[in-house]
Amino acid sequence: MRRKAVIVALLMGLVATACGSGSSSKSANGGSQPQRTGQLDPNADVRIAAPEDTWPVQGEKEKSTTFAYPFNVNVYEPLIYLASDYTLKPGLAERWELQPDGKTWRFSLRHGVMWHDGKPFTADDVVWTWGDRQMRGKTLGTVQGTLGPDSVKKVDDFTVDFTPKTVNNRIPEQIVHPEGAIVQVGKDFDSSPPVGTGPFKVSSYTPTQTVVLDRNDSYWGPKAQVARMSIRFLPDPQTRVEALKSGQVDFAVDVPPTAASALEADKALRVVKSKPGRTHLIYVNKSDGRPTADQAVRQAVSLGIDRKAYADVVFDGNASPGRWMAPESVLGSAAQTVPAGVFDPKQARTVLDNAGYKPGPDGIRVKDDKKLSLKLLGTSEIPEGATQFIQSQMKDVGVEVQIIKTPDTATRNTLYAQGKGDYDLDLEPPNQNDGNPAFLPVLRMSSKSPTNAQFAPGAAFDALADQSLTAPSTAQVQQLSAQMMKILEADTFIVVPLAGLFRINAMSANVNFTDPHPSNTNQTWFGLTKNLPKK
Amino acid sequence: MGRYAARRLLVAVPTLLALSLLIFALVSRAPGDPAEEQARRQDSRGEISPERLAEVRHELGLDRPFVTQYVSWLGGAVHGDLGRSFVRRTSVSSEIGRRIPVSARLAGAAFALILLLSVPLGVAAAMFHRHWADHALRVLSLLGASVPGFFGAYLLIILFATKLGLLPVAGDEGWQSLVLPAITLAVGPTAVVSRLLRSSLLEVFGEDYMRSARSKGLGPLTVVVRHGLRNAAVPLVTYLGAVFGALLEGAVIAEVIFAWPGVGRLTVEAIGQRDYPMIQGVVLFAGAVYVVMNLLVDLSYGFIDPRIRLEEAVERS
Repeated sequence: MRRKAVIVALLMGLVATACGSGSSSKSANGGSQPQRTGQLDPNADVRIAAPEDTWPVQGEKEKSTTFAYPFNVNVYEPLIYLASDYTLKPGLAERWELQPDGKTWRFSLRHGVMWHDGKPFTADDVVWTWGDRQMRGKTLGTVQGTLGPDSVKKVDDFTVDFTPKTVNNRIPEQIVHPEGAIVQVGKDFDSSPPVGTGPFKVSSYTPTQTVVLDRNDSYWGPKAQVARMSIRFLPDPQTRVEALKSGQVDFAVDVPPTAASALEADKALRVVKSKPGRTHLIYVNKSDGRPTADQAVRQAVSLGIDRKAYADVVFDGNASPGRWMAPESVLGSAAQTVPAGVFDPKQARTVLDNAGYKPGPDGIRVKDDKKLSLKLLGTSEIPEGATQFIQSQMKDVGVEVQIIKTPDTATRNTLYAQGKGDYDLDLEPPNQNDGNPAFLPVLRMSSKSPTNAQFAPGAAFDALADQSLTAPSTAQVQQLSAQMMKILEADTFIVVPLAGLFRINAMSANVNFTDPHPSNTNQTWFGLTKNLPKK
Repeated sequence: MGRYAARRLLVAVPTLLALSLLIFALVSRAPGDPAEEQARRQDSRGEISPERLAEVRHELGLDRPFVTQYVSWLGGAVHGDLGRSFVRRTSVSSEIGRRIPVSARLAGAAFALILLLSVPLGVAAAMFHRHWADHALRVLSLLGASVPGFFGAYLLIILFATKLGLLPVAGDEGWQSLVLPAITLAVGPTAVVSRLLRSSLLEVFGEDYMRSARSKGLGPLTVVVRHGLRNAAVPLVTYLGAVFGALLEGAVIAEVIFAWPGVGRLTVEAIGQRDYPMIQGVVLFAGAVYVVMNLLVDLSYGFIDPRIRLEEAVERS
């Protein structure tokens, strides 16, 4: 008996040793404490696991982003950078000013910038990028609509004027998007070899598999702090996590929220999160004939969802409770003027009671012999738990929710474009990728686009949307955008913000990353460093 | 035999034709308007005018009658031209052609593993019928057949890459990269093939020729290998043909988890992007693989079991 016990104990010990023999070691407090292992290594090659390389399948027009996010702005640069706090930073343009005509934006270009092939960067490159090329649909869609064939003119070798067909004072905030980055005269983003002006040069690229970016030592600004980024595209997020834990990569981009706490507890690793750039929102279809055409139902939906619990349950706490349609950062100080959504299921029930929706035998409310049943759309990007969470919370106030999974964005777009609108709630994860504070509200809610007919709140909103295009300063647009959000979220209940998502990157303890960007297309890698091995 | 092969080849032609028509019809009638999708890809500025839509529809040849479209596509397919991808703007045939060797490498490795593991396991299970080893192998087979592919893949990664650091987590970088995805793909079929082989062998063990072989003084293993395996192989070959077809046309889960750039991932990408010519191409490829594999399996019967050739000769006479 005693011998058996000894053997069992030995076996258990062996199993425990085997389980603990990996590179991971857990800290008692669960924190992610950076460990300095030496001095910065300026010749470091940082091995990075990135999500799927969608660049080869992005299509002709979308080829305007070079390589998979998040490496594009590091090769081809825009005139203006979007900083991680959503402010604008000089890029290839040193400054930009609205001219006295109130319509023309003058960009003063940076001197001494060289393309990766050694040619000098001049105004001709900007005119090519935003002139002929953009007229062929090769650049940013949000700006294209306002530019005509003669809108972009060279003033001298280092000055360019943008004069849109109609007033568009959002141009500086819009052109920060990597799709608006500058390419050399006669070239496109898919020209081979890729030639940009950015802090990294493309050394090799195998579509969907690997890309190697080397530091551009002739860069006009502060140089990158690592010599090379060797990127492997690993589409599966859990595979990226395992690649990091095994030591086969130094950095994993966009790890799943559910893996974050375990990685944070690992002393050999470091987790760096960005502020929210992507949000989860419900757009409520208020078309005639839908149950949600009734403001009481929309209000009940808004009151019946616990945003804090949504962030905690669906994202394991790696999100902030939803309050804004766009990320808080892009709204500046105006963000605080948008009222926070209230979770009050009791009030939701009262609102529905008062509107004549009485609980049926199964707890689901009924009015005029019709069950209060809503259809909830969720694309494949939406986690299963998210739609189930909404379904469960709505059931609690007596609203049935049927979940409709759209297999891909194309199916959802078709549903929208054809105006079928056979749904009531649409759960979407939009991203804020430019610096225009009014971008999302105007894009999705202005009645000028027929595809927004299901949502558009009407004239008061449209007036604010129009003003947001002509307002000369970003601060004014922040105020206008906050007002639009108040209409959408607190007055008409057409938009229900659920959560603001953090982007989560994990890395070895000897790697640091100081400037995670909330936008998934504007990440720069100047803040990436790697320490020399400890002696 | 030659005549038999020719006859089977002739039957394969109408099968492929019917398959191509079915694929073309299904993809053409799928929900959504490919012209609208294409117009949106080319210009995201906002609303698409009916004129622009008509223009794109004409560019893509979608304004022609269905039969004309099909005949034109089929004509191209016969000459190896499956059209141009709506999304990539490259030749569908060359894209599929580029992925086939990648998938074939993985399929070949997985198939070799299946054979290497399932034959000894099946033989052992049959030879030790009702012995503890047979029961242990049954439990193992049950586990192998019931563990979901993605779960097995993660277990392998955690054990061999993360914990032991012996193999790459993912990617296509040398033979080491093949090991984990090949094992992932091989586990399920190995379990099934070993059980199939065990059952077939148990059936032939009672045959007269097996008894004769044993009475000549041959050892048990020699009897099984020389006389049993060949006679038990027919049902196995049928199943193995289907397995190889499935492996070659792409193993989506393994290809995504292990970042393996094969036909499976191409299929997923094409469906996600509504890239109709690419979808038609990969589905036709998958169908053709199955037809060819079935043909090879049928032809192999004659080599494995001479009675099948004899039956054919009797039929002819």
